[in-house]
Amino acid sequence: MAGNKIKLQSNDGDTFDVDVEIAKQSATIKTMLEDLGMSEEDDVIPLPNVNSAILKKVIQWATHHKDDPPPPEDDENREKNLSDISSWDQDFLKVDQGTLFELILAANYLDIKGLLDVTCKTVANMIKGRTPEEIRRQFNIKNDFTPQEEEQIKKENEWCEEK
Amino acid sequence: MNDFNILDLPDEILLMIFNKLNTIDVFRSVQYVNRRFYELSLDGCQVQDMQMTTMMGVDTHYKQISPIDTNLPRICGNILPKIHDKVQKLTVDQSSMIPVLHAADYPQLYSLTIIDIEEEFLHDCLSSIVFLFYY
Repeated sequence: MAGNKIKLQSNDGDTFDVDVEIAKQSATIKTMLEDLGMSEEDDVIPLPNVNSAILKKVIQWATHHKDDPPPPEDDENREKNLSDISSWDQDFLKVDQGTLFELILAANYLDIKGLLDVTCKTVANMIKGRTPEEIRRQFNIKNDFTPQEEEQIKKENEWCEEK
Repeated sequence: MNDFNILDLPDEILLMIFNKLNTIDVFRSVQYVNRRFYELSLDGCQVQDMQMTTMMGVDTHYKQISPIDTNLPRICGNILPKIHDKVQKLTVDQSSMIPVLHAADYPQLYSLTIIDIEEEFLHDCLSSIVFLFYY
């Protein structure tokens, strides 16, 4: 049987028809549907924080992951394992940095735990094992420490070399 | 293509990303990128759960061992004394256990995980460290 569909509208006006079950991976949308009783087929859910390019990616991700088991509720015993990104997700996240950060913001706003987790891991992997200068170059970040602070940092590091 | 920058992410998300890193990576490197990263690295949420292990997990991008040896004394000498009272969970291994546990006391600690350690070494360690339990 064909599942129920709902319409999601991006902030630049595009509307997407999405299976309810797929859309419900977003806790934000799930709450809207359940609390506000938005179940009619004609209802459009506006998503003012997401543009259509990003929304399209999010729907693509959610469609691929629609049969995943729900993520565990508590973070308590999660392992800090950065390598367990599926190859589908790795390919999916081969995007420019700006898109990656927008996906993180969308996943956070829509409250899609799995997508938020995998996108944050991807950024963590870009940071891991690098020097401060490499991280600045990687993300185009300006070094805004004052010369005095730089001196302080250098001192802290010298301290360790003496040891 | 757009020009969204990592600095456009809110603090809560940057902390989420930092939390995915080994704590030593954060203190060795991320901390010195810029002022905002420095502040965030000493933030309460970031240091609650500290993973002070010397071996970085092998992953697809970097098959290497973290050069912790030169950083551990600095972290233990300069950073842990600043944040020790915020630490709630601590993960250590054979090379970091003694320096980390000797660096400060951890009044908020409720979980200590010890990994990659030989039984004999653990035995020696445990007899040299005083554990005070607060109820």
